[in-house]
Amino acid sequence: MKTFFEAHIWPQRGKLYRLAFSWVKDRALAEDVLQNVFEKSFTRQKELSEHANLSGWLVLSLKNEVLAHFRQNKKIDLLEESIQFYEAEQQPEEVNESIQKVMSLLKELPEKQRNIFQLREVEGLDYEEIALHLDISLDQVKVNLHRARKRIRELMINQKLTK
Amino acid sequence: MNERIEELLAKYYDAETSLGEEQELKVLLRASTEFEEEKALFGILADFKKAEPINLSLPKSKVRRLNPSWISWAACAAILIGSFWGWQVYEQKQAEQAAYKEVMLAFAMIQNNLSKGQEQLQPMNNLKYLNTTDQIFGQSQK
Repeated sequence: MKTFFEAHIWPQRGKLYRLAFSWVKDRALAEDVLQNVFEKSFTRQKELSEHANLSGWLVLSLKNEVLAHFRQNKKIDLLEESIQFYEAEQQPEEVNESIQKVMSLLKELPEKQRNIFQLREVEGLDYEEIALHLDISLDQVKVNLHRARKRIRELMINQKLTK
Repeated sequence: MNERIEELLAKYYDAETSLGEEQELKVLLRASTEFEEEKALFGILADFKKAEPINLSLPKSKVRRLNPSWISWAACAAILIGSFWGWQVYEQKQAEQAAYKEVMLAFAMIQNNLSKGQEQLQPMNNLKYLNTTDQIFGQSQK
């Protein structure tokens, strides 16, 4: 019989990994932080099985884990509230051209828009699911997705994505 | 077809498309020879979705592992204490057994002597006929 972790948390690894990957731009680091989140959630299975918003908890934990990593490595200003993960200046390594292009597009979006755009376009989640994952309102999802797509369109025209 | 694509794209950029419409848009774009930029966008996003973690492992339940050196000392101590306790119990049982035998022997001796004494007292039984001559013979004369 599958444990709660195996049935409900483990299947989300791809989506969580890609989120972390887009934040830190480093495959190994993304896997490390996700593994840490999994270790923590594994020990708190009982509590999480009764949690109203498991996906939201996982995304938030992942974000906190990434922040903790950067804090430890002093790559972000602790006093700065709006943390831009890309400040880490990680160079994408061993990633294919498509992923580099996605990264360069996402980089141009504010954090909220970036997360919403990714959850919609890459993970194919509906508005309600995105709202739950990021613990924000439906209206915020719609407005930010609209802005993100407009911005992406501008970028595509300017950068000539096809080249 | 292009009209439908343009219509869907307009809705898409206004963030008014449903997931179903977005799927339809992607299918139509694949068949179209135009809209290179949108095709490229959906192409790279689809490629990104293929990025999967490769080194993740399922967390394992933490089983408390006993320190092997500590456990061996504990085992030695347990065996010593156990043996000593077993020997003590055995000794005690033996002592009890011996005491029981002694007591039983004493009882047997008492019993023996008592029966001897009883036998010696047998002649005394005849004393009950003393002073009963009249009773025995007198009555018969009447």
